[in-house]
Amino acid sequence: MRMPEPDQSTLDRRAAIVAAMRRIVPGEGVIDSLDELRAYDCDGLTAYRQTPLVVVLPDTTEQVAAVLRWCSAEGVKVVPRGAGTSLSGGALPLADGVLLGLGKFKSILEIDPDNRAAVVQPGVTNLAISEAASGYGLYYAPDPSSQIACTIGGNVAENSGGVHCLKYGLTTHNLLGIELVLMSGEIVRVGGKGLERPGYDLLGLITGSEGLLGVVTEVTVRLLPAPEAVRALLIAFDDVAAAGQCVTDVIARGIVPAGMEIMDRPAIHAAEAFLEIGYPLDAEALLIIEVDGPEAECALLVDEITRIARNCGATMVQQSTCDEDCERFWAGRKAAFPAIGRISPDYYCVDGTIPRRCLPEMLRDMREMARRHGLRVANVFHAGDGNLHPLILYDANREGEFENAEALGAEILTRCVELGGVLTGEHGVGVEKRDLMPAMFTSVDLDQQQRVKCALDPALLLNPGKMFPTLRRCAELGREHVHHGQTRFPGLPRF
Amino acid sequence: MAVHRPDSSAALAEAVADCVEARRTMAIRGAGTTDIVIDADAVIDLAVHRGIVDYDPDELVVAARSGTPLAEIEALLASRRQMLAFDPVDPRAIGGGAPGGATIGGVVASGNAGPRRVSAGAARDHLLGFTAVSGRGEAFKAGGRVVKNVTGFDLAKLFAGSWGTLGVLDTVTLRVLPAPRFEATLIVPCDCAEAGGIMAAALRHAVAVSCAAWSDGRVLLRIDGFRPSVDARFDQLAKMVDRPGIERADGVDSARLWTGVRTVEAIPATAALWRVGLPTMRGAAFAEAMMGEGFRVLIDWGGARVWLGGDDDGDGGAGVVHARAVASGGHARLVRAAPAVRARAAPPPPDAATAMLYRRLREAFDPHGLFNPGLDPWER
Repeated sequence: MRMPEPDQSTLDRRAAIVAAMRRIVPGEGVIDSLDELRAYDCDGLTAYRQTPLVVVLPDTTEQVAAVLRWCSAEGVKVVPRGAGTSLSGGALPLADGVLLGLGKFKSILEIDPDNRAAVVQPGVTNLAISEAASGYGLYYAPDPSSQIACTIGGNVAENSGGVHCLKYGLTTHNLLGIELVLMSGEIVRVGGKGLERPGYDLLGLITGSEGLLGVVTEVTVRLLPAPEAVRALLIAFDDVAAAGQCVTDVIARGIVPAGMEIMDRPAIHAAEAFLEIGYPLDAEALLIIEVDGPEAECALLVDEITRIARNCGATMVQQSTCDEDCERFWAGRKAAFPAIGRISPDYYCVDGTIPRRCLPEMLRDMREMARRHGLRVANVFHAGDGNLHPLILYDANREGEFENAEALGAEILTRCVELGGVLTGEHGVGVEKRDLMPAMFTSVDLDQQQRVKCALDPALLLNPGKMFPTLRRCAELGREHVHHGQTRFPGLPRF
Repeated sequence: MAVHRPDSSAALAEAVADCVEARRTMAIRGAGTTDIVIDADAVIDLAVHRGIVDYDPDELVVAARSGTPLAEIEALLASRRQMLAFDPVDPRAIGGGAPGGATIGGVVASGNAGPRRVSAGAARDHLLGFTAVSGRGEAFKAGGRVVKNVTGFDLAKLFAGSWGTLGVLDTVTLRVLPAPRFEATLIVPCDCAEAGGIMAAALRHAVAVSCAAWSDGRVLLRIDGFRPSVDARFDQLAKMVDRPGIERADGVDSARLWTGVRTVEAIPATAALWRVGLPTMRGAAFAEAMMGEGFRVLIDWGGARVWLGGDDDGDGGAGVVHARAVASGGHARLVRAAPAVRARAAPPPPDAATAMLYRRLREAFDPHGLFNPGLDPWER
């Protein structure tokens, strides 16, 4: 993975940069000793590492603005970071860049039950919002599996998902407002506690922009009433296609469950070996369906889904009768990653989305690809919304095996795009999928996205080297395009 | 003025590229259901650029050319008991008029959303992807056809509500959802001052109210889904609200009430019509104050949207509307008015940093300022 060439003059100015940062953020907020900097070498994508030039941990919006203003004036790159749980290298540092950590922005500023909103600082963890709101019977819906550690600021940057997206959407569907600091140091407030925001949808643009457009210093999220009941079903099939059909039939019946998850045979076996929860080992696919809402609704839906599952040839249907059942059904799915970690020295988690119906075909193709690469793959799948998480098993101590696993991952993602899907459903492009972007977008598409980057950060100082496979200078992107290979109306003056 | 009526993606790209080459400004037109008047060198009329290109009920997705009538898409979805959950409204139907053939491109570009927005989101939340032609004359795409997609910047959000100022939409891909099998509405007689509290309590409750509105002395609260569930939840809601005079409307009677909210029946078609976005809990107090100023009002989205009807002369009440909206943390836009009124009704401009961002974003897509000159999404 190639990152932008470090700028020697910036490296040479390191002492001056550290001093300037200390003037803006006094005390413990600036880290420059090599030992301490190492803690920031990577995020959740640990295969890529880079020690940052310096780490700055501001605790006010004004400090963030001052850091960005100074770096902007001095031409120094900045990489924003939340909890560092990104699985795509979104917070991978730069050797010649300031790492701007938002970890000190830890306050929940307000829970406002009547407006069904919470105002929080970006360093608050995803789960802490729901915990703070629970006393009012409210919660924050998006629940990425790292929710105990990941921060809402990182969720905004990555447009994080979770297992309940089919019914409740991604982060972008659950935000009301942000305070944003631009690379220039200007502070912009977008939205608030209402639903409508006039002008261009900056909130929607910033969400999922992977720290390339601005630094979020405050977030207002939408809270939802906590459902009265949650019920789950554990359904086994001896054929993956039948499990996929069951998901389709549930939706065709007009039911939108809170979550629908499929595990394939290798994932079932890994989970069962890890937790011994009673998953059927002869099943080819295990489908977990969760419904939530009023008691009356849940009871109705559980019976209806059971009927649909039997029609699809389910070999086993278990209904949860209590919260413990629910937890047991989910336990294996939630522990899928550590379970795989137990049977393989290393694993590489891929994240693509496909149209749901392509699941059997995709799994077949994946088996063939894995065989060719000589690697094993276990699958967990957010079946409701087509988001696939193949876990590629490999051993990093074997020469070339990580590269092999990465190559298999790239092949799987390219296949996702060919089937009408996308490169990443929830983990982000970052550095990991950066060079795959041309599989999904033409150079015209990518240039148009980069022009948006130029609109907010014309000097390309904020998190450069992520998302776009080729860094193009903004002046270059502004050049006149030539229609049909020739300039028509040649008599017109051009500026 | 040259009028281009492309009927294919290729013809659309060609027409726009021609205008870009010649630096001709373009008015982008769907069915022309709004009162927008654009003074431009050419018109890109999308009325014949129509047709559903992909409807996949199992995958909950529909894609259509931008000139496809909303009514055609909604009829097709209804045949499979599905819907566009953001509840769009044909602008001509507002105030009781006959629908004017609003196009899906217009619906997306105007950020359209009806009463269900409070629970299901707006056009921006359901636009999965699109293709368009930029102000450089280049055809490009963004997004995809699946819900879970974080690949690249979310340009779909920018285009929803951009009023044709960033590019000409070619095709749009939208998420669809199952339509509720049954609905019921709880009707709660109350005055405007009490409405905010009643709606807030209902929306906070686990019975999952899908819409909440107030006009003419009554709050309407909608519950929908499968019949047994609706019945159980309705009883729970009625018990919680517990006020004298509450009534229940079922099925088509309930749907009729919400058509009335969606088309703003409470405000006469002859009025200058405003919509005001506010922090949810400020809505009812704002509406009450505006009634005191002589406006007709309809509160939707539990308070986050207030429709106002004022006199369609002078400035249409712009002075007091904007002053009070801003004081309440909101933003008012004129939906329908006589041209002379509209000319005097612009809202206060955004702050300098925001205005700079809007300008740069517009230039990122339309560097020569050719699309819908003079139209500012901030004012719509």
